[in-house]
Amino acid sequence: MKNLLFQILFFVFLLSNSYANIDDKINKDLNKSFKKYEKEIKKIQKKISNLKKNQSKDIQKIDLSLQELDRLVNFSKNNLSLEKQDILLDSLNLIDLYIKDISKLIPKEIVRKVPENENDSMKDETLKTMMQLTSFSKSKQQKKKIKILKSIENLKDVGVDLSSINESFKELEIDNSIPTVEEITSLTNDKEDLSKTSEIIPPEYKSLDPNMNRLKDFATVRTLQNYDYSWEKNDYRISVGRPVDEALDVKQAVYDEAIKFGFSEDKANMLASNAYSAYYDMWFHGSEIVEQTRASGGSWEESDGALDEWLQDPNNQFNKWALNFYRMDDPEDKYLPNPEALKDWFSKIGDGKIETYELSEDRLNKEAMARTVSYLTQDFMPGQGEGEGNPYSEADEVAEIVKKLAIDRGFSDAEADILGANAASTYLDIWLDGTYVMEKALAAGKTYDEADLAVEKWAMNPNNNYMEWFERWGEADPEKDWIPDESTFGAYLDSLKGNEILKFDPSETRADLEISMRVYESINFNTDTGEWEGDVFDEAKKVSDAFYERAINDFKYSKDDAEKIRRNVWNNYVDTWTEGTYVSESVRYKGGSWEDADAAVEKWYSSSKYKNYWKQNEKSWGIIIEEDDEGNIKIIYGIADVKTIVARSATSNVQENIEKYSNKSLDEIKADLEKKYLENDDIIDDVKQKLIDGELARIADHIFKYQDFDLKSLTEGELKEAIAEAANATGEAIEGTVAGSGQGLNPSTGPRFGGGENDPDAATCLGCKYVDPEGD
Amino acid sequence: MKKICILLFTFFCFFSVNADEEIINLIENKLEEIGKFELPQSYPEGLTNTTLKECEIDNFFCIKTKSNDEMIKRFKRSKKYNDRNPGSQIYAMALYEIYYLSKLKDSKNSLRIFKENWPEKIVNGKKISSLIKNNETRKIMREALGITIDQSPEEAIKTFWVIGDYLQKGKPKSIKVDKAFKKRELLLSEYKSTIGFLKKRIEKKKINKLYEYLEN
Repeated sequence: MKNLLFQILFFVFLLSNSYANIDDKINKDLNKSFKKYEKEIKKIQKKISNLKKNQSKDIQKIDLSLQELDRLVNFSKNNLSLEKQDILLDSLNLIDLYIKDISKLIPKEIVRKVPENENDSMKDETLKTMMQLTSFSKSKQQKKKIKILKSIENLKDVGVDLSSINESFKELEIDNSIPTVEEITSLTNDKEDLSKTSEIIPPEYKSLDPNMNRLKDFATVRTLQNYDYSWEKNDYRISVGRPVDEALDVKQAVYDEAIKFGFSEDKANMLASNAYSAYYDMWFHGSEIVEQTRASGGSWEESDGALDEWLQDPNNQFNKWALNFYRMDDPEDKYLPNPEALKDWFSKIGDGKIETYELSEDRLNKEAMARTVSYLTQDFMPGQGEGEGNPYSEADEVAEIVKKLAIDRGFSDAEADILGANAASTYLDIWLDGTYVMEKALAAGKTYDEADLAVEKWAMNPNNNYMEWFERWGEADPEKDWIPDESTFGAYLDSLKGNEILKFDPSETRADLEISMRVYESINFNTDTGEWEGDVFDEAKKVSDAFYERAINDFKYSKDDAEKIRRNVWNNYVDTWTEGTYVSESVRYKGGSWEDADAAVEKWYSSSKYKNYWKQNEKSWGIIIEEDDEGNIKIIYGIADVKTIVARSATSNVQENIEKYSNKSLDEIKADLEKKYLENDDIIDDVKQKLIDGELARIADHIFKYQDFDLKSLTEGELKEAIAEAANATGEAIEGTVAGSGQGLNPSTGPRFGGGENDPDAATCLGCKYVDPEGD
Repeated sequence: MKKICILLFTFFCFFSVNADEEIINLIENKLEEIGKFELPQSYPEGLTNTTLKECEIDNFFCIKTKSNDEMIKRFKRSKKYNDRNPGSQIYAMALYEIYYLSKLKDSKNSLRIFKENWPEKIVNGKKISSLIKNNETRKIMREALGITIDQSPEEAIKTFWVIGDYLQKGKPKSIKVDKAFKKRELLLSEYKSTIGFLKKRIEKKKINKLYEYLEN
């Protein structure tokens, strides 16, 4: 029994050991192959680098493309290990394909010209075989492309991006066998029957609503571009421009019609004044609606539509005013009120009391801010009029004086710097808030005196944040009212002694305004072209156009849907840029470095809604947006996530129909079809007829195609590929049979490693004289 | 003790089958694909009028000898010859079908014995391995030109011949090509061979394991 046990154990040991040996042997062989590959590639790369330059363009293309391949070849060299053999195989698949593409540039030494009459006399049998081969070859190509796609994806997952090689090949005008998007979309799953092709399900576009705040800001900026704030009239800054002129015309028209209607002068004036303000506000907000649509990429027609909708909305307060001024059935599109509409309005008023129109607070706020910004962005001249100086220069002066006062009082330099900066910052905060109050009064049509009173009222308000500061500032210098009084401000500085001196942040309003001004510095609206200008818009166009083109050309979206996608991409690109730039500028505003700003943007982006939006859409649409070293946006087309539905293909229908109908006339086929459909009671007659007609047309088309079969294109196209592959297969196949006899029997198309060395696994006999077909 | 023996035996048997279940299944599949020898009833006219003109249709020995000689001759041809005669290699593929049939015929007994003992024992492993290799070759050739492994040898031979005839149409014309192109062509061919060599090594790892298993 012991013996039996030993025997069993010995047998098992041998068995398991022999399996282990097989694995070992295979792995050893593979390792040897790795070494051999590395050695051979090194030699080839050396040969490539030693190639003499040539004047021929095609030769230059070959040399350059071979150099381009180096990166991928080096990747394969770095992955020569048993553990990485899958990714290694992927890289080899791609290199193989690229080499094949490059080889196409080599001119053929021998060509065969087939006389026309030889093709004409071709037997049916030949024709059928060649046609089947063509059809098969197409299916095979598809299968191959799926394999290539998988390799590309696997390589991409480990960080190998082939786009640059593809781009270079494109630039060198080398036919690239990497499947194009159109081809990708027509690829079937390799598990499916290759006689079937697929119906494309285009990738879904994940839409993201545009940032409404940005749209509104853009719209307001555009609207405010219609105004100018100048000294032109009455020696103070009033808003001028087209909306003001139109509002004045409306005012006059209303006054005249009111007088004609029989209203008193006071009443007419009151109505005219209300009409002026209402028209002014209506124009402003109406313009915002138009510009909002335009800012999101809408056309002028769409903007007009949006404006009409807004005006006709009964919940809109200006709907009432539109009805007061105009008649909806009036074909003329004029800004001047329609006299009949005015009469209707006046009739409704009759003897009733007229309330003073309440100005739009929203418009006043926006216009006040626009006037303030307009003031700040002017080119200040030295010695500009009283109260019209540059607040930033004044703030600098404040900082300097306060610093000096602080040093005199024994503060350190650093502390004095902070105290000076704090005083300057507070001065700017006060200036901004005060100017805003003044500009708001001016925007409401008030005089300078009235505006000054409004500022005074604001300054005296006990709820004002600056009451303490006004006291610290003390009596104003008659020459320079921004300079603080030495004694009062000195007393304030004294009170700070012994305390930690901390830097103040600017007020939220000022910080937001100043950061926004920096963001808006790099963009501009060109009133001549009616377009936003700046790098971001050029880039947004480039990116959104890429999506549009792909939607139309590759995924067969309708023009309308493609346009919607384009617009959404454009908006999101601009939104991403605007929000990201705001983050960056905020960091810079607070004194951060560019590196800090970049890090902040990175952090913001990784948690923003845009990250997923771009990630998903770039991936599914195969559009890679990259920035080159010079900061230019580059679009790289990659592989899209295209799903497929399997459907019977035209190719398989051709075969079916040829077999079924090729010997019949079209009339006979029609009769067959009628019989087929007439027997079906579930189909109504109209549908039956449509089915018969449709199918008949298709069959006729197929038969026509079959008869018109172009053999020349067959030899030049897919067949050539199939033959080449068959020839490769021959080389591969005979390694194990007739090659390697030591008689230089290497197949002309197969691998060439010298006599008898083709395949270490092949049963070869170095130096044999007799060729043994079995290779044993 | 008997129980221990049975347990040990069961355990080891289980272990051995499990250890190479993949290969065993693969061999089963390959054996199915090998097919059976059946004497072809017809050959293409172009073949019977040339290579096989001295052979009777039922004299398979003559057919195989002549076609094997011709096949080797064609496979040995230079690249230049094949460029001038693109149908030649395809004709050789047709002849390979006959070569395979002869191989199948010769291995009939070996195959039977192998099947009788398999999977308990490997008998005539080397011969069967060689037969599988030849069939793999046949599959590659057929698949390249859209002929499935289920199609009969007659059909395959006919299809290869028709394609060969088609490719032989017209007359070859030489075009002078610059030496610089030729140099690069050679380099590209070398490149392709090197890549193809390693690709095959990796792709064929599984089947090479099968050959090793049968031959050792």
